[in-house]
Amino acid sequence: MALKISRKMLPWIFLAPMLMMIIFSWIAPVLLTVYLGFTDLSSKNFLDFIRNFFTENVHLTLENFEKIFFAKDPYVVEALTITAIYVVSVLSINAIFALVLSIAIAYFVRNEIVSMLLRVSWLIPRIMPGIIYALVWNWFIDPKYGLLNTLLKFAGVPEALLPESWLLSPPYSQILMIVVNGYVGASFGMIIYTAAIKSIPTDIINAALVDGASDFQIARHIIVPLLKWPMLFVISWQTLSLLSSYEYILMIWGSGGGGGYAGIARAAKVMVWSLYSYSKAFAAEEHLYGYASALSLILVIVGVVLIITYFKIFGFRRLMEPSRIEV
Amino acid sequence: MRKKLKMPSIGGKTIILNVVKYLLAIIIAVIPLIPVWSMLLWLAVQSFSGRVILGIIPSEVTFKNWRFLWSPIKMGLKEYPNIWPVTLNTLFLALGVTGLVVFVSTLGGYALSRMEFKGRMELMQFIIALHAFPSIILLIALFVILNNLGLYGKGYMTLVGIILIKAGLEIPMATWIIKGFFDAIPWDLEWAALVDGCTRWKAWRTVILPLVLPGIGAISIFSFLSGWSEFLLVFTYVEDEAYYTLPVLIYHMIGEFKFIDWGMLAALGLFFTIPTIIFFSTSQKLLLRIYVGGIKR
Amino acid sequence: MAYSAQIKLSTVIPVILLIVGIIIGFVAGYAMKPPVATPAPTPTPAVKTIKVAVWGSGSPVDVTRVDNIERAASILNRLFEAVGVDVKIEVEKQFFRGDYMEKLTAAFAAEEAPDIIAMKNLPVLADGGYVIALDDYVEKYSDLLEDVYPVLWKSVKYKGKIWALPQDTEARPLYFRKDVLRQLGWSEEEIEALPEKIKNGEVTLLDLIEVAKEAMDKGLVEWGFYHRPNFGGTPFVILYYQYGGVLQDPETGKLVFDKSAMLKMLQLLHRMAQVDKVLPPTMIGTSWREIHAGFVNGRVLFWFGGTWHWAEWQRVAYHGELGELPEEYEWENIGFALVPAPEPGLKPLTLSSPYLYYVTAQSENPELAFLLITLATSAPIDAIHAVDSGHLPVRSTTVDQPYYKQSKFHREVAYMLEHTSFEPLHPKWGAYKDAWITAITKVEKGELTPEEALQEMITTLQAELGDELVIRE
Repeated sequence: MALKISRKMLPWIFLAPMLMMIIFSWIAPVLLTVYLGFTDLSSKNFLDFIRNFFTENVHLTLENFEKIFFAKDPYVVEALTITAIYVVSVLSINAIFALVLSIAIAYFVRNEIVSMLLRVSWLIPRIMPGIIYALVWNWFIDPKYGLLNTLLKFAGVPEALLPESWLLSPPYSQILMIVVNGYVGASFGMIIYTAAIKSIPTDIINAALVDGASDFQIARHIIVPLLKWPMLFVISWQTLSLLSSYEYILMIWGSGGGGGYAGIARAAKVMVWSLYSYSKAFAAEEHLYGYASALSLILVIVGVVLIITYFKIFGFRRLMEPSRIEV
Repeated sequence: MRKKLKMPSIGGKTIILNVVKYLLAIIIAVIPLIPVWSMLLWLAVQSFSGRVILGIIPSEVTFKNWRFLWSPIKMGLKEYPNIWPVTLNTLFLALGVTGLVVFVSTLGGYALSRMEFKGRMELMQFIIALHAFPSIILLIALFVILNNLGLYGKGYMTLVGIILIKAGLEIPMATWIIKGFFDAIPWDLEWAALVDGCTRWKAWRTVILPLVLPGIGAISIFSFLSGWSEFLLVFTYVEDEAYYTLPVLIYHMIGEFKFIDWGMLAALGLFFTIPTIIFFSTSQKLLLRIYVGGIKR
Repeated sequence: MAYSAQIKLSTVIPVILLIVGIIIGFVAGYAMKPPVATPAPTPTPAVKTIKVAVWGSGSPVDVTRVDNIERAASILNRLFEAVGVDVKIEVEKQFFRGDYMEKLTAAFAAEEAPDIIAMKNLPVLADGGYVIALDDYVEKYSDLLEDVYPVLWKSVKYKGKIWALPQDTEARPLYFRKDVLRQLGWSEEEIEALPEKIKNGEVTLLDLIEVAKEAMDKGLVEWGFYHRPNFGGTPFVILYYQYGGVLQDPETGKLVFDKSAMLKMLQLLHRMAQVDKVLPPTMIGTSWREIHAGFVNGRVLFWFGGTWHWAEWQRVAYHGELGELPEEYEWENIGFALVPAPEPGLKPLTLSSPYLYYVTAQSENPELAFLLITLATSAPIDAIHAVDSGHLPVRSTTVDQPYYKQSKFHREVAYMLEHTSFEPLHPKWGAYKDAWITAITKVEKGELTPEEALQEMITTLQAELGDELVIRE
């Protein structure tokens, strides 16, 4: 009897630490955010709230959602558009460009050392600490001190097409936003794809080579089809990551200091939804925690809907084993 | 061997195709790297230059930007702590996150992969679904929770608290990766060891563990990085300068971009970045094995 | 197995190197440090120590914001010692480089808030219960505060109460390049008389735009004007005030949007950036480095800066050849004046945004804390901060201090405080500024006309501020 219970208990003993940490770091904050989204919490009543979650000074209200859904906040629509542009463009870099890149690095380049060097180089944007990454970008795009415009002129881009300021002039500012995040995202796709390419049994490729297939034909007819599931995985995972990523935009457009970066990010049309939420909570002088929570709850709803859709479309089992090669 | 097989078919077409192939590889994989390389180069050159440089040509070669390595940093009238204890704190934080993530997610991943229990499928679904909750949402609420727990100003305990949170945020993804590695180990292998007379523990240690080591390496890399570059939590909750970490120290150097000592900033940035790049360069092979596991089918 | 072992070794190497580095660093650090004398046992164990914590922020030269509290404490300590009171005040200082609101909140939540904070952000601190009203103390110690510039009291009053003492202030002058004016054929007398003429309203911004055009046409400078890359008040708020705008209703405390003043202000910027082209259309977001380097190297004629920049140019190597500017070079080549009237008939003006000392709600010795901030802003100590950090004093008697008098720059800018104005004190002012800077960015780039930008700004502000906003024609 005792043995049976322990059998049943064993998995849960293994899982217990994980579950506890997930509850602490994920579940509790999520529940709390749902509550906060329906309050008028701001720096006015925050200290009272910390002492007592149900203080009378914090009022339950639907106003936050009214502001969002009835477009009382005129910025909601624009933030939505920018977020859509941002997610779709960076996603195409992450999923499609990264695929071509991985084939080039992992299959076309046969020299192991060159391939390794390229892989490490592509990982640099991801492993470089965020503030340093933002700092060097700020230097790179500077019209006077930076290299970007020089390089582009060198590559034959006419000067009339170069912006006076990469930070400020849309669509250049939006291109910058996409590229900065694209470099970081491309490496995620690259990791997953190169791993998958390397695990393709060599006999399949050799057989095709014996049959006289060119490398392009192999890439097109053997590798790409085999990477279908990894690709779906990268797309679904990265959509969700991108929806909530704002750090690099914040660091690049906010680095001037002195406040008002939210206004500048708006003018440059790079204020994505999650950054908007962040700026309401942490940058505005009055710290509208309630409204910011409501804004991020919208992201949660979008994220949950997307996850359910992905489960339905791709099939849960497949998503669970994303880069298992099906030969 | 493959080359030999191809020998007979070498002709003009193949050569052209090869040229096109490498050209393509250069356009796709090398040219976009120019910004990344030039940025690193700029950091490196700037850190040894006495003046702010235009482009990437050094001027006035000097080591004074690196003076923080052997003397305390002084800016204006303010003296900042020596960089080595700060590095030690950063290392403590990063390794703490790594250790915790590896321990917890290996246990969890093993259970999810190898054990039958009620609600297994739902739990796996749930772990993936956690990704739908954006980190921004957690930030505000974590702020409330941590303030309520009184994490502020408890010295090393504060750092331990931060380790717990950071690890908690990394664990779903890490568990999932490591589960993939366990999945790839055939049951037969484990059985074979058991049949050979190993105890379950010994089988685990000698057969399973080596096969999931690459997976452990992969999740270590990600969690190390997340701990190494954590800023906001440390800045907010650490009161005493003695417990600063590198990102916080660098923040104090940059300030609001006024009075910047660009040379020292570049040197600090490089000092902060180099360990991660070395760490990755030596271990990036592990990343190639994500989800694939140790055994080719 | 061998494979994984090998991987492990190579990943461990950088970690080992790092640890070795740390150890070497420690050893080197201790070897170079003069041996720290073991703290002598406290002489009289009966001494009661009162700990006072102070937080402040700013650029590295602003550390006097926290150091001056220590100076104030030492005055009191010597006093205690002289009368034989066994009390010693110990000051714990923390100094940050930027906003520390989240950290402050965390400290409050942990009941470990500092006693004194130096910060702006008054409405939020007062509304949120972070700081206490000081009216009673101000009354009790009014004899110690008589010499506070009367105009500065405006900047600490909110909802009818006094919440802070001004810690420092500054003015936002218009800097100009004397060398460029000389090349344009101005005589020394004309150049020296310019600030006075601006003060009297004889020279307006329109005149200076013409001068800038001339200098640019002759190829003497790349740009006529530079202003800040972000909001920061100058020259936007100044221009709006000059055109007769009001930002806050003194009766109700609500924020005010004066349509015609705002429109004129946007039109002027539009004219400078898009019509006369004397201001870069992408001024917002330009790096600070480029702004300072541009002006210091004489590539820009006029710069809407702040008084603290004078000191900054002497400390940061912006100049191509000279590096850090010697003060003689500054006197030779750089002049400063009030922000001129935008057009004839209006007034020259500047803006001050005082830094404030607060006593927090968690201070166990609020009266002592108040005394410390009173002493820390008293003339002799005020002079140290003003001169060292390039700010203006908060006490009228400071200008007679020897340390202050030795600084020619400070003597010469002091008059600006008579022409100064302030930003409003309102929790939604941040949202107002955000909408404003968006409008400015778009107008200067030529993306929107001033009229369109005005309309967009009104829509945004109405949504964000609701009935906290009063719109006037």
